[in-house]
Amino acid sequence: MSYLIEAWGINKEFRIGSSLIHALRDIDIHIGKGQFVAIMGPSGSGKSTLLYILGCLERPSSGAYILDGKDVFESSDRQLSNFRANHIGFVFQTFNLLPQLTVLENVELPFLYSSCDDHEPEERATKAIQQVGLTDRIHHRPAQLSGGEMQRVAIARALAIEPTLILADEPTGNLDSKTSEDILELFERLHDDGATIVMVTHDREVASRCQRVMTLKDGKFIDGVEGER
Amino acid sequence: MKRAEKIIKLAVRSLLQHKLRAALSILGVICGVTAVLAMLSIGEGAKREALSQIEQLGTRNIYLKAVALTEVQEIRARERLSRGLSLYDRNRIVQGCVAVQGVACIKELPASVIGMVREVSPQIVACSSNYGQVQNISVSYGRFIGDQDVERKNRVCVVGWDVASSLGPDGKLGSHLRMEDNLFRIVGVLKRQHFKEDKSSVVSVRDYNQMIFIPLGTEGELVQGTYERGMRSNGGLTELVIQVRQTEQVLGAARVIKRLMEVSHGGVEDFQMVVPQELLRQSKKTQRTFNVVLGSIACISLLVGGIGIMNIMLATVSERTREIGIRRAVGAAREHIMIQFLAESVLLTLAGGIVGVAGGILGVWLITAMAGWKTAITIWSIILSLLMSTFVGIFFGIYPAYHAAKMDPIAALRHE
Repeated sequence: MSYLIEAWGINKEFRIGSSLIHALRDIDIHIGKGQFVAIMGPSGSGKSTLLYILGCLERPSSGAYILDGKDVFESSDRQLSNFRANHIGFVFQTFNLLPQLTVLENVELPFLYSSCDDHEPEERATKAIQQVGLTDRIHHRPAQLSGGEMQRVAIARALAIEPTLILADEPTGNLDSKTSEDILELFERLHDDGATIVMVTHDREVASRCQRVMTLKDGKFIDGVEGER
Repeated sequence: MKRAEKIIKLAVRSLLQHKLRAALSILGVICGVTAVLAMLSIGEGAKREALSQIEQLGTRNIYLKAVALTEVQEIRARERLSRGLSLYDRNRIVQGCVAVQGVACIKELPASVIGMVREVSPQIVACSSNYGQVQNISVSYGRFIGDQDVERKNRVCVVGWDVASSLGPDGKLGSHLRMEDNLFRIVGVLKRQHFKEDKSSVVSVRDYNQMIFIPLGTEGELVQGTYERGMRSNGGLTELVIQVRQTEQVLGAARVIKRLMEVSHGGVEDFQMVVPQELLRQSKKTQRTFNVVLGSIACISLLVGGIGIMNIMLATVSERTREIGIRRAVGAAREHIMIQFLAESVLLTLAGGIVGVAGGILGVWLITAMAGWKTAITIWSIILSLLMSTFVGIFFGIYPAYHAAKMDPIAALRHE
């Protein structure tokens, strides 16, 4: 069986002033369809950078990346963006909702950029909001919601496009333990429904909820590389 | 398309977040568009006015008018044997200039009609038979003065609409009109002419409604009674109307005629030449100066307004860096970001354009009401104003939008 994510020799270098910083060194990563993976590591270990590369938001300095059978980095910005819009759902630590839009409009946002029929977005967004249990808040603004609710809206936004891959960057980092639990349960439910989820966290407890944990340190995997499939 | 509609909706929403800022930022554009519209409307009004005047005068016509001379000038004119405008001039022009099709002449008479109501004081003129055709006068009943009338010195007359209606039953065809000591039979009534008196114009158009035409040659008997007054104008014609064959030949013919006249009048300036086409050129020239002034004001305020827009858009972009990151993360390509911010700046300036058009219409109305200038707002001037404001939005929005589009999505996402 093939992997959903296949990457070899991923390097990422940043130039800050005159010094060169290696954020990622020769990363190989293989993740199968339907897996729930955690990437752990201390801050500055390059885990967010890796996530953004996996999410086609950033290009590595070198390396190859095949996502769902497509060679990602051969593509133009336009194609990459289109791929993100249609296949990748991001969930961030700081929720990243647009304050001037309502819950529904925030969830509909990816459809503005995806190749999707004109009348579908509202239906699909409504369905996703229902999935995260916020139907009664559909016309609220983000400012009127609690942190947990905002994160659920963000998850709904990621879900609405029925993504091939969900990427979460410390999704519980800004939440108290009770709401964190809710969010994690939500992720588990999504995983049970067959979603592929990659989650970055530095919380061991959160990571333990995942199928597979990979640990990153100083831009290198030190553990969990040889996961099943 | 629904997607475009959505982009515009989102842009409006973003702009409405800072209403005051948006309103202030478009002030410059409003002023610019107001100036543009005012300029176009005033220009159009002036052009139409000049054109309608010139059309009434006839684009193929050249006018020679007798000029009243002072005593000293009159003595000099006699010394040089100039007799003022005369039939002799007409013949010289017809023979001397090939481009001329016909010359009509009229002579204003200081006579009056007996039995007129007070309000109407018709002007009696003697005219050649082709005057009606050259000046495009149409007759409502009967006919105009004919060749035979001039030749046989028939005592007939053609009256203007107002004269006929004020005469009542006596103004009908076939009845007789008493002028001084003579009776003239009415053979024609002119069509009502739409006449607007305008003092600002260079050449006055005649009010045919208030005129009575008699055949040239019959006026001798008419002015007998008022000999003293008639003395001065006796022999001299008031006006020659020269019709040129083709519009393009007018200016050339005018030069030839001027020379002919100078020679035959011995250099005495007892006539004035008016070429409607030249008036048109002159009015265009004046208009151009005006356009340059107002146009540069409009350009400067649009430039200033545009810079204001650019400034605000740059501030907006840096303020919404995070939003740009989020949009990029959920799948917006660089073009999408670019279009988004361009849409916002164009919406801003277009709103400014619409307000400016409203301001322009109000301003033009005020100008017409206060200064009495003729103005005309055309649909094209409105479209042009709106197009210009759109152009300002695109031109000055491109840099901020480009700046937004080329941002690194990761850096934008991390931006606090």
